[in-house]
Amino acid sequence: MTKGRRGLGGFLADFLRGSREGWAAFLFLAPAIAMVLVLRILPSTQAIIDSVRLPNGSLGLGNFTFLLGDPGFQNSLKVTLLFALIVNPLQIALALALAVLLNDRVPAIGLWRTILLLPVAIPQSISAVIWSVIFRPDGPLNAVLGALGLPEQRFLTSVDQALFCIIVMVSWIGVGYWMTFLIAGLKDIPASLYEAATIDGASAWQQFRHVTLPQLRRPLTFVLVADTVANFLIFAPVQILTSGGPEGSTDLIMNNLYTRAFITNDAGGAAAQTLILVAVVVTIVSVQFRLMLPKEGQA
Amino acid sequence: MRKSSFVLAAAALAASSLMGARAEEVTLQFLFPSGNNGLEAAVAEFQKRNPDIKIQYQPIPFAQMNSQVLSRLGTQDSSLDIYGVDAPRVAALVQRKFLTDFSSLKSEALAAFGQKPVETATIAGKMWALPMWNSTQLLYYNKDLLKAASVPEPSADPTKRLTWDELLDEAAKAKAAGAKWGFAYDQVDRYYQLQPLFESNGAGPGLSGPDMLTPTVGSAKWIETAAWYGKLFADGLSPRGVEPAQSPQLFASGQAAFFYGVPAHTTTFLKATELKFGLAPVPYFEGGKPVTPTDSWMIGISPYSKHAEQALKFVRFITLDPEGSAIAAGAQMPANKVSFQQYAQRNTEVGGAATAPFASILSYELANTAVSRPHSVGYVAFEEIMNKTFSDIRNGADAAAGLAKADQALKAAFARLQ
Amino acid sequence: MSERPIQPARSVAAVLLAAIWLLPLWWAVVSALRRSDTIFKYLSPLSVWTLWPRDFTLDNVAALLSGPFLKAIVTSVFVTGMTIGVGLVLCAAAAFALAVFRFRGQSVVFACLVVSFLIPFDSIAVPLSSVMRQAGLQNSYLGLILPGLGNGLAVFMLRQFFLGIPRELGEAAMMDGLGWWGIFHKIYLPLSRPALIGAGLILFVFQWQAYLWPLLIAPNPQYRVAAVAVADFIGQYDVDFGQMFAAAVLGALIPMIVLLLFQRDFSSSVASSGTKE
Repeated sequence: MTKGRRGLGGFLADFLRGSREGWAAFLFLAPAIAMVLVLRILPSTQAIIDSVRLPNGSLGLGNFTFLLGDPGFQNSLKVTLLFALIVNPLQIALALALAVLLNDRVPAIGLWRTILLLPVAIPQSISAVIWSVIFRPDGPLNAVLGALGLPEQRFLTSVDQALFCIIVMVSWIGVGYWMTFLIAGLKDIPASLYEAATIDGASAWQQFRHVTLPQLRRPLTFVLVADTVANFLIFAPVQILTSGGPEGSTDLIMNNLYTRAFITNDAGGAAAQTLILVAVVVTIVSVQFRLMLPKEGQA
Repeated sequence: MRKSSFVLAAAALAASSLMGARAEEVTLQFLFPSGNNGLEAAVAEFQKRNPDIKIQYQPIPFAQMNSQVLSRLGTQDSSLDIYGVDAPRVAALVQRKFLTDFSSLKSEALAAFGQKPVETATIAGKMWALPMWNSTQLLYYNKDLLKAASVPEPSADPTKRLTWDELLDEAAKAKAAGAKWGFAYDQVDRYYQLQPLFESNGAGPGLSGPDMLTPTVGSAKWIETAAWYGKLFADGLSPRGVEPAQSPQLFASGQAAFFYGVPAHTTTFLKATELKFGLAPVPYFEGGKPVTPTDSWMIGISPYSKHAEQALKFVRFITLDPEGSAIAAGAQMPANKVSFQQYAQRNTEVGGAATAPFASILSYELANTAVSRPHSVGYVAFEEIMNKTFSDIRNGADAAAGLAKADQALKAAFARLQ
Repeated sequence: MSERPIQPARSVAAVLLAAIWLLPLWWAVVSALRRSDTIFKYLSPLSVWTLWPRDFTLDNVAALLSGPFLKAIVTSVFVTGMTIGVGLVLCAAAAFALAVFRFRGQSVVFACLVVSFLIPFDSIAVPLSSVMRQAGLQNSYLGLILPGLGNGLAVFMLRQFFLGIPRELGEAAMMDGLGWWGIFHKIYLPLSRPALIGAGLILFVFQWQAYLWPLLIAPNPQYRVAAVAVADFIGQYDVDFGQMFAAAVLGALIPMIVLLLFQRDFSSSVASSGTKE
């Protein structure tokens, strides 16, 4: 099954040769792609139209220039990038460690995996309430710190700590979820590879580096991309816990967007912001693809 | 032959008009925040009295209400007939032409609600919504905590209310005597709750100008009052990091000596069996006027509705009609003067001595100290920006810097209004 | 699978980890079983009552069960179940096509899929709801389910997995006379159990956590889903924390049971079968 060649002649040759293949592929693809096109891509075109409509009714790129000069937007972009830089490596490393830990050789392993996965099934509004209580300056976490002789922290009321608190909360929700995909990936690695490595005298860490990680490349790519995207789109925890404060230190971009869309009611600005956000994420994801899977290109 | 065909035609006409005389059933969609109210019962009662009108009641979570309404009306959804209008949002909704003119009902409304609620619903001389509920505030105090600090219980007489200085003094004493917190606000960091501070201190609502689109939050008085607010938390009299939803619990669990909040909390506090509390009027700044926040939900009809006439029937029932408005209010405070009396009486009797001053304080405040939120097309953005600023100040940000930033943000947001 | 001995250090770590992870939820359970005004009483200083109900009461649970929340759970289970059932077939088929076939425009299709999950769903929810309302899908189960079926993330994930399955298997089967559909569901699917569970998880999370969308497309109370029903406890002035936490716990029980049931499928290692190199 050869790769499709460029050029009209090549295209026709492929089409005629692989037309049965083409039809089969079409039938397999059609329902899902149709859904994605109609229910995701098509409504987004509304955003493109809205983004060039200015408050006074005329058309132009004014929304974009306004946004790029708006201190609130600039701040949210900065906060989001900082957040992404910290939370993604942290969560993926943690998910990987947990996946290796809970891969096997532990009794009742299914129960522990389920417990780690459970937070993803709790409505985010409730998780936010629970964590808002945990992080209360007069709450249990400070009580634990006090009992250990450590100074009480300001958590969500501090400009410096609030973002880290959000990171802790979203990690509590998400790490078990990403761990699950990595466990699925680990399950796919043939035992024979490890046996061969053991025979060669490799240590556990060497086996991890030279057997596990390369074999995990595809699932890891998925987790890296999906986690990055998910973290760019985080909204409910911020809205409920901090509303973007204190002093905008947790104003992640989706929170800023929601405020612009539904509260300030700036439809044009919100649409432009959506487009900028998607462009930023597409860029980052493309880079990730290129880094993780250089040979296969899009694979 | 011509005669017989004429008779046939007449008979056919009569028959068809008889069939048409049974009115076709109309279904109205009614969007309102879910909560502890009597709207379901009101819908049922209305349907009983009007069998040809069916109301599809769609309660949605309070926090989602405004964005849901805007989304649906923004797409000219004709399936939305009646919806709840949060009082300060009337101006913005009118500007986007999302409300129907009710001016013909103005005299009825004045008789049923009094002047202040009708004013809130009036933009440029026309009335756009009918007030359904109202609000005001009470000062709750914990009897045991005050006794432990040898602090006299505040008077329930609205003409003899505490000043803020006196209150904070007593709160500090209560804290020193063992209360975890001296004072707690119900809706901390919210403009609705804090507007009275600025009004009472002479700082004004924060917006001015003919359109109320000129921010004045950078003024010296605003900075002074905001700094005073931040000091409450810096001094440890009130807690930081407790969100509004959890604030009433501070008082219910016996941790706060004074609590400034809505009258609806009397029910919650009566359920806290170990709590002994009393009611008093809210404090004011010495040298200024006592001010209380007011207004609550109103009802509007969508201009895209295809059944405006029937919709109006239902709206009248739950607002202007004393019986209907009493059913619809349930535990809430009705704006209708007649049903308000019943509500006040009921709440006065429910808690014995603890709630004895309920009716007298509430009536006084509604009549004398209530100040509405500013009528501005930009109110929603204003409230959002100010709430964030209050939160920052509560967490320790400098009042002058925070308000300067807010001033800038407001100007930018207002420039984006269509 | 060769019997691999239990490692005590790992096991202790696993149990400790799970215990710490569970603490916030445990607090929610305890709060649901407390009288409402005592929920926030024992936060600090720490005492045994922080994590054990002092004024034990089943009132919150009773109130919850007598209200509309149970129906909301049933609705959520139905909608999510349908989404996973139908969605898995759709997404796995699309992933199969993208992993196995070579056709012109493949990269464009793949790019579309990736972009589709980069677009924040809440940003397109309003225009989408308007379109679906015009199609008459408001206040219907179909309206709730449809957006959850074509999930670009699930297709992406399954594709990554299918790419790891050797083509020789499919080619051999083809020579034996099996058609594409046969290769798909007799060869690829059985080898992908853990990945299918993973994809099911993606579809589950999207639909179970959906909040803005159900409100927009189905505001009638009988279509209330659990995530929205929980928000009904958050009133304007008062939050019924007791019922809210009871709802969270009850709402988490069903996914927990399902997840536990599927753990066995998760544990079976494909590697031992020796068909993969």
